[in-house]
Amino acid sequence: MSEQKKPFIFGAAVGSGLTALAVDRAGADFLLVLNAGRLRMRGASSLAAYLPLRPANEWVFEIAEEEILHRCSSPVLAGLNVRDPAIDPAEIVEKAKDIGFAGVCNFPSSAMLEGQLRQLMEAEGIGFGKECDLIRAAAAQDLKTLAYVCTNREARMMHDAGAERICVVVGFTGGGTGVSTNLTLEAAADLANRVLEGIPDTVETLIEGGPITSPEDALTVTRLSRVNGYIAGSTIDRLPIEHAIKEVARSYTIISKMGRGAKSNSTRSAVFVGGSHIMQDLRKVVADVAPSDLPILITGETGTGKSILAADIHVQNSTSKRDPVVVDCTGLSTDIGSIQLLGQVAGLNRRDVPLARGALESAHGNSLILEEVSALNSDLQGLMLRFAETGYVQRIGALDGRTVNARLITTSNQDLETLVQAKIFRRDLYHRINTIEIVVPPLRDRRDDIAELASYFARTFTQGTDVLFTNAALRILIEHEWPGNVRELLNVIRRVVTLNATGRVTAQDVSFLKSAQVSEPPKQIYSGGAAEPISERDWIADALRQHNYRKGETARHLGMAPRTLYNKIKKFQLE
Amino acid sequence: MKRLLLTGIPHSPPSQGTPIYCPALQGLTGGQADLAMVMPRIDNNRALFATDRTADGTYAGVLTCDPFGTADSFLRRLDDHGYSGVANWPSAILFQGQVKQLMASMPATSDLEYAWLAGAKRYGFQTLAFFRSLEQGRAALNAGLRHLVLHPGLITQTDDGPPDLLIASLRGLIEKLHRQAEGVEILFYEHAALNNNIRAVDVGADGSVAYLAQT
Repeated sequence: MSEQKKPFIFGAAVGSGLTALAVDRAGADFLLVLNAGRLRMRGASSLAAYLPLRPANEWVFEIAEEEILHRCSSPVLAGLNVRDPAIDPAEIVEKAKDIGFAGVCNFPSSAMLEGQLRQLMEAEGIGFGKECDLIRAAAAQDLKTLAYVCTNREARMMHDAGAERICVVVGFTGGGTGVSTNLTLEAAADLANRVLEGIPDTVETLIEGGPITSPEDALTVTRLSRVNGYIAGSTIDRLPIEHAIKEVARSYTIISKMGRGAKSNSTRSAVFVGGSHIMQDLRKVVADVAPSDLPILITGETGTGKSILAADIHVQNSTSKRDPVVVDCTGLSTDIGSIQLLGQVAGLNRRDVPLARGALESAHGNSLILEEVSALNSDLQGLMLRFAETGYVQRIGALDGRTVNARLITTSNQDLETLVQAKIFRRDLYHRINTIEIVVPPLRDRRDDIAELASYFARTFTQGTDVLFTNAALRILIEHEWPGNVRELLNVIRRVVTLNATGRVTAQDVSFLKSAQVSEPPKQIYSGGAAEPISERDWIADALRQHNYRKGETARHLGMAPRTLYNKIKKFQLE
Repeated sequence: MKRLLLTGIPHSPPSQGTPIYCPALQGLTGGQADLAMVMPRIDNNRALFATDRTADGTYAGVLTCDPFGTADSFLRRLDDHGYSGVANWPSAILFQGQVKQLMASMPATSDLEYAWLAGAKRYGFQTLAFFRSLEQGRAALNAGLRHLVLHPGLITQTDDGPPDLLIASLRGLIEKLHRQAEGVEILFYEHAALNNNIRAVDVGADGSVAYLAQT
């Protein structure tokens, strides 16, 4: 190989502005505009280039003038047909030059035809000999020249005609609309060497077609043979486009709205991640209400991120640097719940009882977040009502109290309105705490965000390293019903990323979701107005069964703290 | 004896025979006409509509392997333009060896052409099925076609064997097809490049198709 030659030349045979621009921007050394390229884009085989479907040269000129020549910086060569007695090679070359082509090549070439058909072409003067005349005429006009050949004789003829680049065609490329080949890469390399025997090293030599369908194949063949370049035809448009369209179309059948809307630019919390309209609206509402001191009720199914949102509102609102005071109402016992909320004076009932400041008092000048407020019993509801109305807190056993100024944020995974109607929750307290109600949607109602959320969580667990999710994996994630909502997704991603350090999540990695799929998504939280939240109960019961009632495992699977699981087991009487 | 003309001339003199108008043949010699299938120099099927016919019985030479063709609308247009019949020319019947295999992957095959002609026949067109071998002739008959044209094959300068042998071969082929299907009409393509000028009558054909080049 000559020292002056480039190590590897990459040419692209194109038939549309779309393909041409892409390969030009990718740095192709040259482009060939071929009628075959256009036919491939129309869903036909490259072989259709031989048929009397369109005047090939006029078509190539039209495509190049309209879509390619003025838009690409790489040299553009015209694939010219001379298998027509009316075509004068010198005239057609001159026309190509006038249009703005940097060079020409012989396409569709008679080199790919054989037998009596080929003999007749040569006898009629419209065969390969005329293609050599084309290259000769182009060389005489100082245009770049590339010759397609299949045999050593043709290679020598083209070299004699002045071709500066010779491309050995080792058959047509296979694939969906292509043809099959029996050649191996090694055989293709051997064939190329035989065809190029006697061709000086000063001529750049390339290969195209046959078994070469990827850059790796092209590299292999160039290593095994003397060719120092590759021309991609079907492999640069048809094969990748067929594959990509098939994959993307399959994804679109599921991800119908994926990518719609702007992506979240917030990095504060996972609950804000997602470009879906529903999340954009949610972010707008939060931004509007967070600065005020009005009580906020956040509702939504378990695992939707209510607590995170509550904390986020606190951060957006509070001038205090303190963490909010958080009370998990499911953990407030009947006996001492009031003490936990109000506190108590020292020596109450017993001498050794110390003074205790309650949660409400601790929230002065801060935010008070009551999680799962529906779990408050009637006594505590009364206590909270007084606090919500007056802000007055009196420790148990104290003779007087103090007024507490706290931002009240409550969360509930149950429909409080229904509980009010069922006389389980006080209507007056309900109206006090829901001055503003924010509903956090279940994950199944914002499937658009799942891909973004998965990537966000994955990056979190890999300390900022991007993790690639295959389309198939994303489909599984998006198809899953997510009864545990964002929390469940978070834990699934944690599990997957922890077990798989490759940086690539495949369908196999998340296939366990298919087997764990809940048959029916929870369409409504309540059953016939009853107070029992059947979907969450069923979800937890199912998880317990799956893990043989091992609560630690079940809690990890559900993505909740063991304490929360114990409370829910108790609450739903699942023991 | 029935006589038709395969030609690229839009309006040939009817006195010389019923035309089979095939735009892909414009400007080609008789020898070059056999290569029309691999000469991307014209949109053959679109060019069929460039001129209106006057119900003169003209056949349309159709590229039936057009990957973008839609049979029903195309046949309706042919009918509207006054064509009475259709023929599979330019044709895949002359492909051999590796070229035949390659083109079959497109697909461009004689079988596909006969299936297309059978559809045209059902539509109401007269049909002419070009064929080159016994196998192709039988395939045409099996497709329900009853008007066939035997092409003697690609004629190159090396084809200078004894004419008697070629005549006997062609005659035998026609006889076999006649025996296979009663009432079948088999014409012979009197190739301009054939040595010794073999005529339809020499091979027992029911008529002839000649090539009319532009002068």
